[in-house]
Amino acid sequence: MAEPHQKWSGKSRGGYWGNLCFFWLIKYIGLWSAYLLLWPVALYFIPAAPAATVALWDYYRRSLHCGKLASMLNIYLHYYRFGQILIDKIALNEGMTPQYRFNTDEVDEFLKKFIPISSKGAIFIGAHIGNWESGSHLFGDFANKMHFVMFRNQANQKHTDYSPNTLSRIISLSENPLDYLLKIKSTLDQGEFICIQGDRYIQGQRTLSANFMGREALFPQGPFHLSARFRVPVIFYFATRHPHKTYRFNFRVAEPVQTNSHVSPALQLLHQYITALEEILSQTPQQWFNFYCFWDSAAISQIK
Amino acid sequence: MTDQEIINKINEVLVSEFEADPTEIKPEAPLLQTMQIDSLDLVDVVVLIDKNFGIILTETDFTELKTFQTFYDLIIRKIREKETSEK
Repeated sequence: MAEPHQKWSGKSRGGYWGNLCFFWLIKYIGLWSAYLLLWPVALYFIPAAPAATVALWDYYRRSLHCGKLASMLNIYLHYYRFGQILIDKIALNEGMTPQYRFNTDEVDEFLKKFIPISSKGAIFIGAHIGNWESGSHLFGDFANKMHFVMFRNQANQKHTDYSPNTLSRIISLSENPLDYLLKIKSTLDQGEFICIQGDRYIQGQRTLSANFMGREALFPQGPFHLSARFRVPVIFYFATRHPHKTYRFNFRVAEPVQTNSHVSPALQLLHQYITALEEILSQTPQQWFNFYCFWDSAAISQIK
Repeated sequence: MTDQEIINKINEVLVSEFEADPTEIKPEAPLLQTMQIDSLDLVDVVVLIDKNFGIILTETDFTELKTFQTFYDLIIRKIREKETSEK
């Protein structure tokens, strides 16, 4: 039996030959063939990724309160959704954008509203939901100012997902935290934008505990602490997949934090983030791609 | 601003923002251990120094940082450089 309280190790799963096979199908046969192959592959992952399956079971049973049968079905569809989005990433990177639909109206509306106040930079806090990267090509000049913060091995893996232009704007979480933290600061000082995920931490990082979907969970402190400290606009951003190869971009501009509150500014931001996250997950529960036990009671009891 | 005024201001910021014990702030005391701060706090230091003195600290500034005295010396030197460049 896999360890259910396993934390995220900083590495993402993915095999070379499997990826190559899907890449070949997408490029030479068509997207439909990759989606078709995905059905048995998603089924295979239920026993082949036991730790992830246990974590998903916990998510559906204890957070979403699904019955046993519904949880089993949801786990299968969850793996399918994940694979579907990986296929879409490859397809988008291969220039198949016209085959997809995007809610560009909402992007335009957001950019029009946001650009006038963006001169001092901003922090976009996302989550491992849907396809975070899929929308950046729609952001026009705005996209060229977006810098992505990620773990080093994720950044290496992303070489297949990103164009060279985007890769040059990846800030890698290196061994010297001060190095990347100051890079983030200088990026914001130049009026540019930081994109960071707010739902994963690795061992040793500072965390914040908060109620998430009815249970205490740990979140990384860094994104919320920095956002509060740098006093720049904060936007919660999630890109979710919908039927007919449609992607929807969801933006929530965070309310300014209260400095005279007994709740720390970072925690105030985290509470707003969780509200936005829960709202998105209530609409697209199968697009939550944290394949480890997120509600780790053992870790939480240690910090209390 | 004299050197002593700068030092007093730095200490004031450290005590108010990081809840440091004023009796532990001594020139020869190790800065990071005394303050019990990590890299995330160091970013706060950078922001607060920028806000209070208008100077930007970089990563290399922190490599030689050991005691409170070396921190004072760094800030004073940066302030004096800034004053010279503005003349």
